[in-house]
Parts: sequence; C-alpha cells; structure tokens
Amino acid sequence: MSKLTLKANPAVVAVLLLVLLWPAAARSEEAWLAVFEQTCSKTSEAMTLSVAELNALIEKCGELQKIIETQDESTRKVYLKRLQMCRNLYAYMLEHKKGGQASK
Amino acid sequence: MKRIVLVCLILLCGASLLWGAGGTKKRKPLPHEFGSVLISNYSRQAGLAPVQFDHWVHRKNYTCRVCHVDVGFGMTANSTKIRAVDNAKGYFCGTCHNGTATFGSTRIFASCATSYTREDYQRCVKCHALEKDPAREEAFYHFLERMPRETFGNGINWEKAEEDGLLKLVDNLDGVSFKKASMKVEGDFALKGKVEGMPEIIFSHAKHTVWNGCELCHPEIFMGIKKGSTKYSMIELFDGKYCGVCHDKVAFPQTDCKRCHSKQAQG
Repeated sequence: MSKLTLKANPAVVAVLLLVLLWPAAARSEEAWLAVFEQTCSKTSEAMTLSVAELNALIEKCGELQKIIETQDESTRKVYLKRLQMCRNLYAYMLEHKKGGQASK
Repeated sequence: MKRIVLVCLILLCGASLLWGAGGTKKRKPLPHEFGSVLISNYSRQAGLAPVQFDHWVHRKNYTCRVCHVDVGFGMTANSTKIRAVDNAKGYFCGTCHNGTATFGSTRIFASCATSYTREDYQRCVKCHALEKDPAREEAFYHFLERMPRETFGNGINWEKAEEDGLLKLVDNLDGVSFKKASMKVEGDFALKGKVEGMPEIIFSHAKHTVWNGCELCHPEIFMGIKKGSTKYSMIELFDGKYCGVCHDKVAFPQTDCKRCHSKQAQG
C-alpha cells in the first residue's frame, strides 16, 4: 500500500503564510482603492453614461468618502480631493442630462 | 484690423489698470519664469526656503491632468498645502520624486524626508532654493532652442510642439492613474465677443481635453450647464477666473488676443 506523503514546498508555504498573516487593514485598503478606481475611472465617458448610471456612481462616491475619511491625513488629503473632482463631474453631468430630459 | 488692434490696446490698458488698482505692480515674467510658482506653506517652519516650482520642467513631460487630477495638486499656488510627510509617503511631489521612479532612462531624484542630514540638504535645496539658480535658467533656454516659438508667455508654442512630435507627454502614472476609456470629445464652439468688431472666440474642447480631461475644468472652473448661460468678462478672466485659472499663469497669456479670438470674419 502506498503511503501518502506531503512535501512542503517552501514557496507555497511562504505564500500561504503571507495570505494568513497579511493584516486585514492592508486588505481592506486594497479593497477601497479598487472601488475608488472602479468608480472614478469613468470620468472620460461621463457624457455617455445614463442618469441611472450617474446616480449609482454618485452614491458610490458617497460611500467611498466615508471610508477615505477614516484614513491617515496624507491619504485623506489626496483621495478626498480626487474623489471630489470625480463626484462633482458626475453630478454636473447628471444635472446636464436631467436638464436635457426636462426640455424634451 | 485697426479696430481689433484698438480693442486689444484697450484690454491691455484695462488689465494694467486692474493690476494697478490691486496695489501691486506686477513685473512681466521673463520667459523662463513664466508659470513658476513659489510654494511656501510649511517650508520656513522647517528652516528651509520656499519651493521654486518650475512649471515648464514638468509640463514638457506630463499632461496637466496627471498632476492636477491623478496626483491631486490644486490649481492655485499654495492651495494644496504639501507637507514633507505627504511627499515621504509617496503623495504629491513624492509620487514621482521618490528616488526610484524614472522618466525615460533618468532616475527622478527623491523629494522630502521628514528628517535630513547635512548630505541630504544638497537634495533639499534642489527645490527649496534660496537663490536663483543660473543652471535652471540655462536649461530652459537650451530647451527653448528646440521648441516652436510663441510671442507671449514663456515663448513656446506647446500645442505645436506636441503636434510636431517634439514632446510626448505622459498621461498615465503606474499605480496612480486609472485605465480609462477613450474620450468622446465635444466639438468646438464659438463664443461671441462683447466688443463689436472683435472676432468670435473659437473654443476647442479637443485641445483642452487632451491635456486636462473633463474633471479638471468641470464643474470647478466652468460650472455652467447650458451653453451661453455663463457670461464671461475679460475683467473676470484677468482676475484669474474661468480661462484665467490657467491662461496668464501657466498657459499662454490672455493678452495674446488672437489665440482665442480667432474666428475669421465672413467676407
């Protein structure tokens, strides 16, 4: 009968340890940055977005703002400014679209 | 034609009077000084001279959008309130000036550290310059030699330089900028001048969005939703509003009337 032996590959063990020991805070930081990118990367196509899409993005910006406000001062300063610019553009486009719909 | 020249003269006189009324006599900046900004929020507290920021050095390599949207620099001098600790964390100047980033094959020197040694001080004074550095001036004129000329501002036609392929501006910083969909650019439009005889202004969205994107101008600088709803005056523009946020400060000056009032009369 063959005996099953598990050989520990050092690289696999290192990756597993990294995943397990990686601070939760760092993972959550990655998470909000990914949401930030997803939300604010649509500014170049803001003109083509629908009212519903713009509303959803603005809502997302509101959620992000709360998370960014809990970060350290430097991160807050940079990302609140960036968020404000993208949120304001979406709000501007929304107003433009609503104005267009009202005049039709 | 005479009428246009007369209107330009009136505008120039008006601008001079406005400056005069402000109580400060502004010296016309020399080409190498045009667009330079003195950053002085916390430098003196740290025992350093203010930062002499040369726009041209950065403008020749990067679009406006990269620094003013992706990196987050404000549009007016000293509005960002940059601290050494921000730079050391890799924000603002420290986004690129971190000692490891490169431009082409050149390594970009590191910016601030929260504490520094006597050796580090040599690096500090690259930006926190006590006196005018003749080498910086020389570097500008050396660069100018290769650029298409313009009468005003720093004497460079930046738009043509890019068109001619003399400049290849970076619009994306790894780890900072987002991958974006290509932009659907709004068409050019004409704005009627208030002064009779003055050619209409042709505003090119394409020329502006290529360097700025959308969010740099809307809605912070231009908040009007409906075309024609905002009435612009040259007084406001010379006062630093609307077009004056960039033009006069870093983009070509508004005294270069023909650059904007460019629509030819129908004959």
